[in-house]
Formats: sequence, structure tokens, C-alpha cells
Amino acid sequence: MINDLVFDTHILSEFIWQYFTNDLRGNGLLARSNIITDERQKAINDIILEYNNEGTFSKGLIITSAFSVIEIARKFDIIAFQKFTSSQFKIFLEELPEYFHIAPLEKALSFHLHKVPKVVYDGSTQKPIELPDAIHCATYFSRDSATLITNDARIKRIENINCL
Amino acid sequence: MFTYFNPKLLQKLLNGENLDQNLYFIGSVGDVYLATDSCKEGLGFAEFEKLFSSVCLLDDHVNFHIQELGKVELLEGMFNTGPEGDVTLDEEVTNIIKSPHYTINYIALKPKENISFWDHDVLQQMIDWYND
Repeated sequence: MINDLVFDTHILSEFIWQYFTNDLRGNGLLARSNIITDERQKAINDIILEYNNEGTFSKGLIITSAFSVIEIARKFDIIAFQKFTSSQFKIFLEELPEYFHIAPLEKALSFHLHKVPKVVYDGSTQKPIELPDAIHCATYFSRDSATLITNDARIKRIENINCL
Repeated sequence: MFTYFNPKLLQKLLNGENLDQNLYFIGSVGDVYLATDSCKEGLGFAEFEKLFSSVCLLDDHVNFHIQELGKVELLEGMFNTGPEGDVTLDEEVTNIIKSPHYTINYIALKPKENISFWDHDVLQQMIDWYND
């Protein structure tokens, strides 16, 4: 069954870092880390392995919003600090692996934004979903079948999003 | 003559106000998100669909161009390459004090060599609008 994996900004940052340090450009695989749990590692590596061995994508693709890329650029000194350089960041974008797709910020995404609630509840406390996080969720909704990989506690509270 | 199509202007249009037919408006998908996101509260799905369609139809109008943003625009808008081939992020992009919408618009609207109709004044208008 095809199931795309949608990365939020922090997962994308970790992936770019490992792309260079663990040779994902060659035949390397994603390693476990404080962000990459066993479950995440298996799901992501299943896609990479299939592509490396068969050149196919029957398990799905890795997707991230163009907005995740913008977020890393905006906060580059904080997010990418001592992990990867701006040159490596550009190289990654230029030579994206075929299993990795950057979902454009396009007008059609606005349609999916409507599916994202304005607020979620933590007990009786109302917490807003800001537009940047809503864009990640809308990217998830734009896929036929997907899992959103995120550590964001608010996004995880949205009922109809399958998070990992 | 080009002018920046900011969210306030978009709201005016959605409210039925007429805009100057002699101007060519350029905006980015960030403006569309901002407008539709701020309008969606209290709207049912059918009403939202109507609003969304109205916004998308703007792009079909001869006087409007709404710039979407994908990998090509990210590469062209985010990075600067120095004479020695050194790659740096554009200073406007790394200015985290400015809103995410600003960054979306800046990258999408940053003049590019392969877009012949582009105008640096449009970008300046957008920067001025966000700085106001």
C-alpha cells in the first residue's frame, strides 16, 4: 500500500544533516537519533531501500512542503547550526533524491488549509494552530494516503491526522 | 505598470470593490493563504470553496499574476552566489523577525533573470508594505 511520509521542518532538518553525514546520497541509510525513533527510521528507510534496490516507490514518497525549506532558511543559524552549511542546503535542493518531493506552495493548497482546525484543545485549554503549522497539515491532507512525521504537540492533537 | 497585490487589497476585492483596471497586480501564494486563512473562520465549507474559487480565478484575470512557489523558486530566491562561487542565504530570507508570509512573498517575488516582466519596484512595494 502506498503511504507517503510528510516531514515537518525539524524532521527535514535532521534528514538533510544525515543526507551528508550518513551518505544518503550514496547507499547510506538513516540512523536512529533523538529525533528519528525506531518506527520513523524503519518507515523512512523502507522507502530509501526500495528506491536504492529497485528504483521504485511502491511504498510511497517522502514529501515536505516548500514552507519547511523556507522555515529552515529563515532560522538557519538556529536550526542548521553546526549540522549543515548553506552550500550543502543548496546542494540537497538541487540534487533531491527521486523518492523525495518538495510540495510547492500553490493556490490549490489553500483548499486543504480549510480542513485544518483553527484551534485544538489541551484539556480545557484552547491552543491555536498557526498558519505555518497549518501548511504542514494541509500538505498532509493534499496526499491520498500519508503519515505526518512531526514532534509538534498541537498537530498531534488534530483528530484526523495520522502522525508518527 | 506593476504593483504589489497585498492582502489588504485582496480583501477589498473580495468585498466587491473595484480595482484600478490600468494596473497589473503581482502577488504571491502567501497572500492567498493569508486571505483565505483569515476568512475561513466562521465560514462553512461551501462558502469557503466559493471564496477559494474567487481567489484562484484572480489569476485568470489579465491584470493579475499570483506567483506560486516550488523548488525552482526556492533555489532562485533563497540563495545568493558570490563571485568565488560561495553560496549564502539571502539576508532578507534569514531575517526571522519578519513574518513567515513576508519570507514566502520575498522568495516568490524576488526578481529572477528568466522572468522578463519582473520589476524591482514591485519587490520594494512588498517590502515597504510589510515594514509599515
